[in-house]
Amino acid sequence: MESKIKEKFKQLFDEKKIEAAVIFQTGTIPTKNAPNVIFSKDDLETLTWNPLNWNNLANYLPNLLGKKIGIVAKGCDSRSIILLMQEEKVKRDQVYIIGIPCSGMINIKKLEKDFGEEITGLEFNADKIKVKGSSSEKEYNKDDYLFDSCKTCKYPTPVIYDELIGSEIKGYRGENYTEAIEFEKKSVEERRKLMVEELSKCIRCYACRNSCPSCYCQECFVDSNQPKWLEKGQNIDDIFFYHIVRAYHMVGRCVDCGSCQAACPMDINILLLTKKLNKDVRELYKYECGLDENKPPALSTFEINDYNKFIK
Amino acid sequence: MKKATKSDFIKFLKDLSDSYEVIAPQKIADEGIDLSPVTDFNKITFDYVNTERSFKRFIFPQSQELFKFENNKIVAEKIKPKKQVIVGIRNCDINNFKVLDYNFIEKDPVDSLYKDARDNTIFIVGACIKNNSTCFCKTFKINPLGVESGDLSYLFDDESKEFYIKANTEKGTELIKKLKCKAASDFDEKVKKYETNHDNIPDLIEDKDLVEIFSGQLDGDKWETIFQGCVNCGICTFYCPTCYCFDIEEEGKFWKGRRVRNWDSCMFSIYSKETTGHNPRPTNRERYRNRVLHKFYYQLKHNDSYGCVGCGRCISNCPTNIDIRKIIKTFI
Ligand code: SF4
Ligand code: SF4
Ligand code: SF4
Ligand code: SF4
Ligand code: SF4
Repeated sequence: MESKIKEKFKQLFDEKKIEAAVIFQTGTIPTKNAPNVIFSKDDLETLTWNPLNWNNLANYLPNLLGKKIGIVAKGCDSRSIILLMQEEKVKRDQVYIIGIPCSGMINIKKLEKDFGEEITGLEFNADKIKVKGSSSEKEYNKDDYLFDSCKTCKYPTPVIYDELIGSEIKGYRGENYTEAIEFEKKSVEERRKLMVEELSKCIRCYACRNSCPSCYCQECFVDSNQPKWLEKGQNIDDIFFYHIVRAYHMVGRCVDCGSCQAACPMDINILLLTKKLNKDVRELYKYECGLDENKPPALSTFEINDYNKFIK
Repeated sequence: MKKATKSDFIKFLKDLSDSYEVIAPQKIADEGIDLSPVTDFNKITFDYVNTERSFKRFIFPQSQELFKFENNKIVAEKIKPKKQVIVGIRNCDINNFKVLDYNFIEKDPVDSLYKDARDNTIFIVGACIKNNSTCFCKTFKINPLGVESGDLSYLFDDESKEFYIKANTEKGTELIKKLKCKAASDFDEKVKKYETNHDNIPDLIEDKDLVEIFSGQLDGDKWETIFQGCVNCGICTFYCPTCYCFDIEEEGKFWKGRRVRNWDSCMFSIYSKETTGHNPRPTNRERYRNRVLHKFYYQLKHNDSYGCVGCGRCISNCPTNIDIRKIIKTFI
């Protein structure tokens, strides 16, 4: 698979069809790969494809507007590309998309914790992960370590591409809003308590925001100081405010790729909020984002029979 | 010099908790092992290479109130620092004093909040008997087995399961008297035993002069590619034991509120944004270059110290695998 991707990009570079490529390169430590934008075919050498490629590569596209780009896309990446096309941050003829049907990315932090010592080597087989450390070696089931977003991914095969490498994966594991449903059942106080517990760990590094392709504002509301919307310290109410508003800015715009949560160094369950809102958008507006570039995003349009019970 | 069993040592810490807040490594739910104030002394663990985060936040908190104000007057009294003991610090991390002290104490004006916190803290350093593949402390001539740092330092001998403890400062000498256990004379011998454990830690710079090396490459082609993957989050700088940047803000209404200082990061776009809206570091290229140069050029030039101690945290926590070791190698 890797050699096929490299071949294609090499050809595109040679034919001057692309100026840059957004790819994953082999990381400097066994537990990480490096998402990167490359400008020369020489850098394709270290291109890699394995279950460590959790970053949503569409995240790099808004900054590259105007350039001709090649990009490898998993299912979720491709949906983000569609979203960015709808929002005019990417033009269709600007990107050459190599779609890769995705069998799921693994939650490496969880694996590291369970393994107990530093991981010095990783090997992936179809459904197993072989983990090496300096004093032990162990095999794990890949399924047990998939990200929650991947376990419930509905579109593992890219929905838009110029070329598909690998065979289509259909009807994967289906949708799953168990956590959101549980959350809905709770009282307002219980919900707040749960969120405070999670969010009090937040160090406001904004890796969640910055890893999300849907977050591309020139100036984020948290950074604005004229006007200032919230304080920048460690007060839980301010942290709460950030997370609630970020989630609301994702309404009808979140592809549930899980990048935000995977990037979080404090392992905070931020997907809970976006999952709940995704569910609402689905139920209220019969809309899933990132599937059809010709349809406007849920909250950018109005139809006469739209859900409107909140208007009194 | 003394040697203590684990229970002697824990008992010693427990006794200290009468007059100090004890901060020690503990297993935190899903975060791994990190420093945290102790409520249950049985939860202290010494089985780690380094703590998830450094001790920096206990003497230079992420968000710190400077004072409260009301109707043009400062109303709050000076905030008294806590007396605290931090145990289990690694030698790389405590070498951050070269950076923090220089900026907060050695140069006028003295930052009294930092100085008070530092003066009211007892630092207990634990020598490393293992390391991670991301450790590169030796690059900065820091000895992972360094038992000369901190008020007290110890080496945990894996074989005899004993703590070899010694005092390095006056404070430490007073304190060690309270530790009830045997005296030890074979300290150096024990340290020697673990030296080869660290043969794998690289010295990336050796005797090269980074000021000279970087002064010819302050800009140029190499900077065009290395930052591309970076998403400009705050992880690498917030996790770094030496990063000391902060921003001062007023919270509340203009007639009533408080002034706080919060950690800031040169990786954020807002960091260098000016009142006019102009940003002299408009893209991640300039921001990333600043981080690297501040660590390996500006500080070296002005303070004769690197802005890095080789702890490896920015490497293991970066979501995009930007590896500071690779960056150093690119330029030297
Ligand atoms: S909010 Fe999180 S899950 Fe949703 S698109 Fe952004 S990064 Fe992906
Ligand atoms: S990545 Fe995690 S710690 Fe950082 S701002 Fe987001 S939730 Fe907070
Ligand atoms: S180098 Fe990594 S941790 Fe630092 S700002 Fe960039 S992406 Fe975040
Ligand atoms: S720059 Fe990275 S390796 Fe160096 S001290 Fe900071 S966190 Fe540690
Ligand atoms: S690297 Fe950046 S955040 Fe860290 S001390 Fe230097 S300028 Fe400040």
